[in-house]
Amino acid sequence: MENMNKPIKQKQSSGQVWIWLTALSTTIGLLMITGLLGLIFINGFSIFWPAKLQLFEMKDGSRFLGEVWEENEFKPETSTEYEKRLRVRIANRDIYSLDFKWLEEESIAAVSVPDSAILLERISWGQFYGFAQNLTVNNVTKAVGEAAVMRLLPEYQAKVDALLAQIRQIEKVEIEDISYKTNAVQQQLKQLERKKPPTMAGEKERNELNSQLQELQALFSKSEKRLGELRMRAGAYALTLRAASGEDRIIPLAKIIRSFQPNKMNWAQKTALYLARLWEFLSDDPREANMEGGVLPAIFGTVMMVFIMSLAVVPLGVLAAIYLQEYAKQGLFVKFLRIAVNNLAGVPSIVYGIFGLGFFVYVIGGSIDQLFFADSLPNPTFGTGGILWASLTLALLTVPVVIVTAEEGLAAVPSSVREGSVALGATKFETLWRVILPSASPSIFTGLILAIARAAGEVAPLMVTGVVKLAPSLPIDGYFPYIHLERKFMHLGFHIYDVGFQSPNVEAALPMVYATTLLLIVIVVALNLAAVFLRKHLQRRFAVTHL
Amino acid sequence: MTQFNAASTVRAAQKDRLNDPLLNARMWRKRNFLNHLAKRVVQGGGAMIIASVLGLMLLFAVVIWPLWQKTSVGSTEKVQPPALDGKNILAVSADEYEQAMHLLTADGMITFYNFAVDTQFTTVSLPLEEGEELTSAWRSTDAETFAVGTSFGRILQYSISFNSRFLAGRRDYAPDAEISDPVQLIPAAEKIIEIAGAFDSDGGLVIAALTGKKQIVLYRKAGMEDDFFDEEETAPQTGKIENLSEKPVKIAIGEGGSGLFVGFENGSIEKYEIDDLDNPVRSEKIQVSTAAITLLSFMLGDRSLVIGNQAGEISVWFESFNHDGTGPRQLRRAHTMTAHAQAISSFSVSQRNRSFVAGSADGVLSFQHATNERLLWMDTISDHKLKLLTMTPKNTAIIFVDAENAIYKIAIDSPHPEASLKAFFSKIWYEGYAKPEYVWQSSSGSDDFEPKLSLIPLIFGTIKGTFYALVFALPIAVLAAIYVSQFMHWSVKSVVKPAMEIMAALPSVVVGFIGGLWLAPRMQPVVPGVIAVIIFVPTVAILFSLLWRKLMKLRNHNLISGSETFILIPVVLITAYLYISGSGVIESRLFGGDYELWLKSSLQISYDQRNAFVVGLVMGFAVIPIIFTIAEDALSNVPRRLSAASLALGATPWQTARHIVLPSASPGIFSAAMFGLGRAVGETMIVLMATGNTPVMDWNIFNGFRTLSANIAVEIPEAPMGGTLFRTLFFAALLLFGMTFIVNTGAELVRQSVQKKYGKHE
Repeated sequence: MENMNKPIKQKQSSGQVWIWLTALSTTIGLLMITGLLGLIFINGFSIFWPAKLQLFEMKDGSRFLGEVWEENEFKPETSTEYEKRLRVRIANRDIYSLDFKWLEEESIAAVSVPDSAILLERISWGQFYGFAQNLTVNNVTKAVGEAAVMRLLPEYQAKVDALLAQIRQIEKVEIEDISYKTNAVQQQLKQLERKKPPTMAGEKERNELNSQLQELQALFSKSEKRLGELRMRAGAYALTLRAASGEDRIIPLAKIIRSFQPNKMNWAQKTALYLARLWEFLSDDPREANMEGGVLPAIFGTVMMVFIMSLAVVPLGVLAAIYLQEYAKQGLFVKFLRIAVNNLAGVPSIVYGIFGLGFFVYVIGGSIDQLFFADSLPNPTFGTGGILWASLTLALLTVPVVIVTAEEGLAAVPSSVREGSVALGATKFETLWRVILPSASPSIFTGLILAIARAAGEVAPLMVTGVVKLAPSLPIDGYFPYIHLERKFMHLGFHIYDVGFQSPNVEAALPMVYATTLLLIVIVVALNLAAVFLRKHLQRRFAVTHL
Repeated sequence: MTQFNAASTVRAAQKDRLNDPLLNARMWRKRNFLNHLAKRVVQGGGAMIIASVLGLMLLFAVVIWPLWQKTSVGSTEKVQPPALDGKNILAVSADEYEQAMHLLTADGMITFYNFAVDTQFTTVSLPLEEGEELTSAWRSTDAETFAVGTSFGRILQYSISFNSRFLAGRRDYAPDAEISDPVQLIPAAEKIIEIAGAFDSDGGLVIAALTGKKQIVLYRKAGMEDDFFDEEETAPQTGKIENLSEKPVKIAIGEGGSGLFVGFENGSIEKYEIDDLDNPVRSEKIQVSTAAITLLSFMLGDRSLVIGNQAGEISVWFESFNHDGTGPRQLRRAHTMTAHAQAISSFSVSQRNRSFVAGSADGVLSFQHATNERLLWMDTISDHKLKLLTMTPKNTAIIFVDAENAIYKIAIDSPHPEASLKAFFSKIWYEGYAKPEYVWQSSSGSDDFEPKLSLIPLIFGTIKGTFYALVFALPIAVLAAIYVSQFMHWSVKSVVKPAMEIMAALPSVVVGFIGGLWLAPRMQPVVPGVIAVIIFVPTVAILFSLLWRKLMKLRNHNLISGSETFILIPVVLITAYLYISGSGVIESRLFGGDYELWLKSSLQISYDQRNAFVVGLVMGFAVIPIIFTIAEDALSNVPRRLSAASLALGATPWQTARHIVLPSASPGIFSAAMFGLGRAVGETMIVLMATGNTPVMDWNIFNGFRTLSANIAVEIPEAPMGGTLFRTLFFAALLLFGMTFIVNTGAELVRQSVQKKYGKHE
């Protein structure tokens, strides 16, 4: 409203206060969004930064080593005055059983930042904070005292890591391969058994399969043996640590992912560590009931689900939009259809989830199982939640977004262009294919981006159609048919819900939740900004933000 | 430009080919074909939308329909073993595959009969004396244990097992009965008229026997568990209830073997506490009706007592407190079932749910579900009195014995007796509750659990969540829309509007996480401060605006319209910080130092950490951007000539906005609010994570609630496919769908009519 851009300086006081009130609402809205994003960004990004370890000596003689998590005021039951207290992450779950401890400021005698404090990231039991005592190989002490241990540790750790890499290679590649083949052979045997009556050829085949099975078993035991040896060698190295409270723990180097002394580190080292941890988060499998490690399977699942969904949603949405805009007679029926489409956009996502469960999983999946996987029934193959069904459910959920956006793009092509094309002798299809669709393609693309952004953040429908907290294998692997659409999958959004609300130790899991949230937000907001930019760039009016 | 180029390419290509008539004709055919194909494909795409909407409806209909399906009943077939012709049958039961039957006749013979294979049967005789006859039999709910009384005053007990195996395409039975030694309960000259039993919590068996002398004899045998722990077997105990005032006709034991109920000929019943057999105490006496009691039996779970009488009336009773939850626990009539025309003569309870079958003297059978008082089926099935009835373990058939001792089987199919409109939407008096209530509690660990499927608490939760979300979001969104559309410079607007719209893109799982794990625990200690912030931030903002005007006048300086919102940022932040950090002071001044205690003592409300307040605040992230965007569009679309005329006539910008723009845009704002409402109703993850998900019905803002959507998300993974809960959850989803469909269609119609009125501007 250009006429209002003039400075407001009227004498009339009428309404000035109201204008400020409306401004206040805008302020609150802006603060909400920036506050939330800020909260997630700060928490999410600071998770990986190594904090200093402080040693608290309490007045009652107990000692705690840990990082200060937060500080607040509380009212003890005995008094009416507020007192300060610190929440300290003391880790060492195997000793203290809790990751966090509240320390009242009153009862702290001294705080120091010991240089020698060491932080271990372990495969299980979470982190360990303590002081290095000695380093042993096969129970033979190689180094005693913090300085000596820290000098030798990197070298030994490198040796162990090399062994661990070999172990992983055997486990992930060789053994997995063997067990896959064994499964296939066993499946064939089962099928053979079902065939009646037994024939000579069948008998021969069975013998052959059985000998294959034996070969595989021999291979397996060989790999197992090698694994055992490697594990023995890796397990020989052990580090003894002393917790602040005095307990000693012997931790095999094979169980250590990373060890460092945060209080001694400089900025460059801290940055390097930060990046390493960030990379671990993005590229590793989860550990410890999803509370630690990385989120690679969740990223993979999210991306793949969105990809399958895009394959389904674009043709469907664009076809529907072309029908509504170009082919259907504009009348009451089309008006009804438009309302139906807009309505589909407003249907709660959980309703789509229920539909996906009832229709895709039980009706279609159940039929597929009956037809093609009758062998493995009653164990369902497609008749249970899986990535394909989840993707199709989300495709249904997001198709209105694509329809509406694509329709707007089609409507924006001037009729003169259409008429020109037809006047030149092009058929309706040629006009559509060569003239209208190319100029509407940016809108279609915008619609797709919006659909992806919505799909990436949806969780409720996935919870009923195939997402799981921990998928045993990715939907893509090296075995025929390579893409396993029936498999269950992990998803970033569900990861947040699951780790934040269903994990056994919510407090210790919070860093993971913040980091995952940040990742999801970055993906979703970036996609949305891309859509906003695209539509701005194209100067197209856009009226479907309520979707 | 690209369009033009594309068109010209087509034209150039055509020009070349125009010279060849043959090619031309072939090309035309091809083009025509493509054109038609495209038309079909596109129309197919259009059909997909319709198909998906209809498919959605159809699927829901298909899944939900069985909930209301009438009970289907097969034909009556006679399943009489020839050897039993004319013998007096006292008890009957069937195995879960409905192929084998167990029958007890008065001469002490147990007959196992495989009626799928007509010839196969096994008999076992009870150790009776010469001339001794069975007079009465009792069977446990699971139809595995039986107790019988004899004409020589003895009782004995036996357990049966069918031991079925599936072999070579058919089911074979090796039935077996484990029979206890007879116990002489009363002198041998007397006859036992009625017998009843129950298992206590240790697995021991309590038996009551009615004799001809208005007396009841009690007998308790300790359970197996007892034997296991102490080496010595506990000796059986006996007891007696004598001198009954009226003539007792029926007895039943319930409540884990501790309560004996006696029905009299004058229509009254009495309850005796029989924990101590030496000293049974009468604790209650109730006049049920004037007609003689003919049926006294417990439902699955041993808590609900079914009473039937000579007049054909059936009612279900259990112990509960007064309606207000006080007073002594007393036996109260909870359900009045559909009555028969004549005396109730036989009865059997389901082993799976709260349904039962009752037969009467006129050969009528009724199949009813007690919890929702639903009559599933009722018809005349015999010309004779129905003497014995049994429901098969899977509730899929009824076997009945008529007065002529002929045995018949009827297949019945009633997969969802516990569902009904009454169960979903009416108050129902559940077992153990003080009064009829709306309760959702779909499952529990125990087998004899009574499912409570009222959708009302969930609908209430949905409405509550939506209400608190809108209370917070609606004013903010609409006022912000007014400000952004009317008073904000376009350069500022181009930043602010997308920022608000990004809010809509936040995944609800993120918002829910922040609400449930960040906001809820941090808010709990400072609730008084938060409330003060809500009250005082607007006040401070108004005061600040007045101060600002004074200041500006002095310095004679003006700002771009739209910067108020940024000037207010520090004001809001400082005010919020001050009030929240001063929460303790407010708390000690106004609420005596502990607001939670204060809430409890003066308002009788408790504080849940995850509550409607938290949800209301965080749901703003989902609802504000929707309302804001649509309302802003509506306000911006009001023709400029209207506001220009108003300003030219001397109205202030606010007066123009308030009296000219706002009324014109009000349908659009209404539609925006409706869309916001639709979103709030269907939101799942936010409420799932930011409330405690307890299905309570309470408007209290500091309590949690459970919405339809969250309920579906929580319970569907545990609901077995095709079960009642599964279908009920689909029904809940349909309700949700219906609610949002109505709201959204309304909003869409309003929006379209507004668009037609003003047209699009940009």
